[in-house]
Amino acid sequence: MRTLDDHLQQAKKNEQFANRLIQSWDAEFAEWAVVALFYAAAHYGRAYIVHCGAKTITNHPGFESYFRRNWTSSSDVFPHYRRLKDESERARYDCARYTKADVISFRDGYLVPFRSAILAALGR
Amino acid sequence: MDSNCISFSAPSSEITLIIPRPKDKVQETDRSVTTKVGFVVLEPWRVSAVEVSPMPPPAPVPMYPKPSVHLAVEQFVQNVANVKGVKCIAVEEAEGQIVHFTTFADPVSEQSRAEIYAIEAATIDAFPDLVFDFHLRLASEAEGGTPIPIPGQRFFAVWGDLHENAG
Repeated sequence: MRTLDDHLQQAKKNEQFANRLIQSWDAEFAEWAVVALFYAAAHYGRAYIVHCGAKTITNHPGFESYFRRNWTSSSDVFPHYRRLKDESERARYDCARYTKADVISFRDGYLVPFRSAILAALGR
Repeated sequence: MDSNCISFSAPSSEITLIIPRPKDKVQETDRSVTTKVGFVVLEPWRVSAVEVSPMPPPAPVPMYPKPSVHLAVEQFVQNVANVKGVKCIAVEEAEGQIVHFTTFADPVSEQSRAEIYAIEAATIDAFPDLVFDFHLRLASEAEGGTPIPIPGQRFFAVWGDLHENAG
């Protein structure tokens, strides 16, 4: 069973990977930066689920339902997660193309506030 | 047959009732008595319905689809249909547990995206017995013009052609 810290560590690794791709920018692989941003959010969210002591998530597609039902903070982070998920799917399945500005806007506009809210809820 | 049992035949109902004789009432037969009684014509055994307490409910068996899935679909579609740019909604219930909603829209503005995400969140809140997986896709990026459903119960709500006004 993975711990809260396991998920936070994985989230940070994924976020670092996204940042490295942004810094070394290669437009040919821009979509992987978007995917990494989403998986950073996914692990921040799972860290929160572990913190809540919720049941094991047996279906990854249902994560957003479990997360929303366990989220008690007043900040509404559901749209941030949803946007990163949709962009990740566009990147993986719909052959979407992204500029560096796009990816930075996803990071700063959705992942950063999502991560901040999670860490605040975790008291970190 | 067990000598401690009495058998009654009920011709009218074709039911045979076997009632155990209480052991404390089994006594030695006074055979001299049998010569002192004659035949007795038995009336047909009458069986009447007896009201019994209800059985406990059976173990829950998942209905397929659950009634609440239809309600969730109806409410989601009604609300999302009002969002500008929405072309089609595909709803697929698969993996036994999860209801997948895919909204196809074009264009997808920040305003329409926010509205759709809010409706998704409201749907999660309104149906706590269901698990959802939401997707919002740009219709012009979707393959073909007809969604390919996954196996299982599914619903489609389409407004015109998937690619109408797309691109």
